[in-house]
Amino acid sequence: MTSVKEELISEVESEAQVMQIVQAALEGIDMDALTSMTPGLPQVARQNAINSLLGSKKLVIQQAPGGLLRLKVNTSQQIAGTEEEQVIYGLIEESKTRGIWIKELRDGSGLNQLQLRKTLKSLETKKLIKTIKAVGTTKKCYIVFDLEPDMSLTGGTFYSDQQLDSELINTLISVCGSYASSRRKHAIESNPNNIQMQRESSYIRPQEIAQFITEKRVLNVPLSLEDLERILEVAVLDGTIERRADGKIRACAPRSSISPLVSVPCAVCPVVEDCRPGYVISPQSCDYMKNWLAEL
Amino acid sequence: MGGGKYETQMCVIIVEDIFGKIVSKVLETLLNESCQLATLVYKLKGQIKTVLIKKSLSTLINFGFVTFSLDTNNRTTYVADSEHIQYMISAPRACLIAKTLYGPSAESICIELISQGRLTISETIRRIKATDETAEFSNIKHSFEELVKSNFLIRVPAVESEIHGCPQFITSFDPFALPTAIMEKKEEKVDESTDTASTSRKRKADSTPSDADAGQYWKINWSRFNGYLRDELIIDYLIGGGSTATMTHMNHKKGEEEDGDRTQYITQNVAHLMFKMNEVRAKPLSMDSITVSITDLQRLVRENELNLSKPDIEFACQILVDESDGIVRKVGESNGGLYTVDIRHAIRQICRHHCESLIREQFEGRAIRVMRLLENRHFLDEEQVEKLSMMSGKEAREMLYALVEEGYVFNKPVGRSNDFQPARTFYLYYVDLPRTVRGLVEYTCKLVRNLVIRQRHERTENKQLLDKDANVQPIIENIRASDQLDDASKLAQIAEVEEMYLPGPDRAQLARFRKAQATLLAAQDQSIRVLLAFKLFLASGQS
Repeated sequence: MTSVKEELISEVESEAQVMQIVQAALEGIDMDALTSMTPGLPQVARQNAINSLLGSKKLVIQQAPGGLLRLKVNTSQQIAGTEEEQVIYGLIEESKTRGIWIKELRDGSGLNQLQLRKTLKSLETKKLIKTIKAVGTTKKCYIVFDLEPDMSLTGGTFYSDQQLDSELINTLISVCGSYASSRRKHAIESNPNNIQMQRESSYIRPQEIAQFITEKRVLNVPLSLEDLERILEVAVLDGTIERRADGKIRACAPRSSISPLVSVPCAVCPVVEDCRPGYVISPQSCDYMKNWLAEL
Repeated sequence: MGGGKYETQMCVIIVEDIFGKIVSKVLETLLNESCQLATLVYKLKGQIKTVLIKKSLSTLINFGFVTFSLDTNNRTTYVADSEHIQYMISAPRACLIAKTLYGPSAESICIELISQGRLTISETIRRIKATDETAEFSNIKHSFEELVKSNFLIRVPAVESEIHGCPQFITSFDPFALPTAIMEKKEEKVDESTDTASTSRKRKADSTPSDADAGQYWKINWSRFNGYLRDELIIDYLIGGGSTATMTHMNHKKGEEEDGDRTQYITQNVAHLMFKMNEVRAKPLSMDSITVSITDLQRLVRENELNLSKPDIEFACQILVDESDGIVRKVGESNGGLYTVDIRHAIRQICRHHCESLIREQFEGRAIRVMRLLENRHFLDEEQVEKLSMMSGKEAREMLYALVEEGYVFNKPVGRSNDFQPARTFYLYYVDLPRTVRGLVEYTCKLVRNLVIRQRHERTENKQLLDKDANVQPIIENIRASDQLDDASKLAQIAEVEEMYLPGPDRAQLARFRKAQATLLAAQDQSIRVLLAFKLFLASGQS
C-alpha cells in the first residue's frame, strides 16, 4: 500500500516538477534538456508526467526549426474545434501582434495547403482570427481577432488603410510650424527690448506641441511623442523650425529671398535642353521670354 | 582655360556683342583650343583674312580676353581667358561700386578703363574730360589715386625683353605704385585737354613728350572687384536680401532709423565692418576665414565715425552668431571677444540656397526635404528616404528619380554580388554639391547666353524705332535749349515733334523696349553674381 501511495504522490510531484521546468523555459524545452534537468525522476515517471500534461493540454509539443521537438506551456486558450484548428490557432496566437504569414503557418503546423486553407477559413468564419496586410507589401498575415496589429505592420499612426496618410502628415507639419511661429511671435512681442529673452522664450519643448495637438483635437487618436518627433524631424528638414542641442525647437525666421536665377523663365523652361540660337526653339523666338518681358 | 559648351557659347556671344562677328570667331577658335598664330590662321583659312585675325588678336589681348605665353617649343601660344570675358557682364556693377565708394569721377574712370581695356592715367583723364567738360583734373586724379590705393585698379606689367618673339613682362614690381610724373605734367595736360581733337592728333604724331607716364598702363583689377562682390553676396545672405547697402552707405542711415530697425542697422553695419576688416588684410579672393575682435571693430567704428557703442557691437555679434547658420562664430575671449566669419561655409550656404531655390521652383517643397535629408545622412536607399521624409513609397521614389534626372541627387549602386544584378543591388542616393554646382554653372551660362541673345534680338527688332528716337532727341534738345521760346510753347513744340516722329503706339513700344532691356540687364547681372558664387565654391574645393 505504501509503495503504491508513494508512486501516486511522486506522479503528482513529477508532473509539477516538469511543469515548473517547462514554464521556466520560454522558448520551450526539448526532451534531452528536460531529462538532464530532472535527474530525480525515473524515465517512466517522466514520460507519464509529460503524457498526462499533454493529455490535459497543459503542455504542447512543437516542432522547432531544426526539426527538434520541444515541449511548451500551452498558452492558447481552449477553442472548440478540430485538432488542426487548435494547432493553427495556437500558432497564430503565439505570433501575438506581429501576425504570422501563411508560409510560416504551413511550416509550423505541417499541414498541407488544402487542409491549411480549410482550417484558416473556418477559423475566420468563427471570428477567431483575421487577416491583415502589412504596409508596403502584399503579404497577408493572420492575427488573433481581438488583437490590434503591431506598429511595424500598420506603419503607426500615420497610416490608414495601409496607405501613408500624407494629408494628415502635412496638416501636422503645418500645425507644428504655425504653433512654433505663433509662440515665436508672442515671445518677440512680450519682450520687445530684449533679444536674448526673445530667443530664449521662443524655444519650446516638443511636449508643448503634443499637448496643444491633443487639446485642439487635431487627431482622433493620441499622438505619441515618438510620432511627434518624426513630424518635427521632417519640419526641421523643411526649414520651418530649427532644433537646439537640448531638443527644444523654435520657428525659423522666414527666409524670403529667392535665387535670382528663378526669376528668369529658362529656370523652369520645359524645353531648355533643346534651346539653341537660330533654331525652332531659340531665345529669339521664345514665348516664355516674351511673356516674361511683357508682364513687367 | 576650358569651360563647358555653354560657357564657351556665352563668352562668344558676349564678345560678339562688343566687337562683332570677326573678333568673336577668332575668340571661339581660341576657346575651343589654345593654339599658335599659324594654327589659328590655318583654322580660319578662307573665312577671315590674316590681317584681321592679327588685329582681332591684338584687340582681345588689349582687353585681357586672350593671353599669350611661350610653350615648351618656344612658340607663342594664345590662350583665351573665359573668366575675364564674363567680367564684362558685371562691368555695370563694378562701375556702380566705384561710384558708391569714391564718387562719380571714379565711375567715369572705371567706364573708360573697361571700355578701352587699358589706359595710362593721363589718357584716362583726357578721355573723361572729352566726354564731360565739367570734370576737374584734380578730382579725377584723386579718385584714380583712391581706386589704386584700394587696389581696384592695377598696373599692367611693362614689357621687359623679348624671347623668341614673345614679349616678357616685368615680374617684380609694385602693381599699385602710382607714377609721380603725372603730378609734374599737370599744367601741361590741362592745357592740352582743352582741345581734345588736336590733342589726340598730337598724341598720335608725337606721344613721348606729351605724356610722362606713357607706357604705364592701368587696368581694372577684377579679382578685387570680385572680392568685393563676394563680400556683398555673403552680407546679402547674412542680413537677408533686403540690404542693398554697400559698405559706404552705413553712415547715412544713422539717426533716421526707428528703434525697431536699429537692430537691423547695427547688425548690418557690424557685418559690413567685419568684411571691411578683411579688405586691408587679406588677398581679395582668399578663402580664409576672417577673424575680428571687438576691439578691432571699435577701432573701425571710430575710423568710420559710426554711431555704435561697444554693447551695440557685442549685441550685433551675438545676433550674427546665433542667426547665421554657423557662418559667424565666436572663437575666443581675447580683445573683448574674437569672432570669425567662415567664408567657405558662407559660399557653400549661398550655393545651397540657390540650389534649393531652383529645386523648389522645378519640383516642390518636399523635394528640398529629400535633398536636405540626403545631405544630412549622406547615403540612403529608397526605403530609408521614404521613412525619414514621411512620404509614401511612390512619391519618394518619383521624387528621387526626378532629382537624379536633374542632377541634384546621385545614386550609387552597391552590389551584393559582383554581377550587379538589380535585384541584388542596393541603390544608395546621395548629394554631391560640387557636382551639382558644376552642372549649374553650365546651366547659368546657358541662361546668360539666352539673356544676351534675347537682349540683342530686342534691339534689332526695335532698331527702326530706336533710330527714329535718336533723330528726335536732338530736335527736342534743340527746342529745350532755344532761348526764343517760352516754356509753354516749348512744351507744345516738343509734343508736336514727338507726335510727328513717334506716334503714341511707337512711344509705348519704346517704353516697353526700354523696360525689357533693363530687366534683361538686371537678370544678367544677377545671374553673373550667382555664377561668381558657384565658381568660388568650386574654386574653394570643398565637398
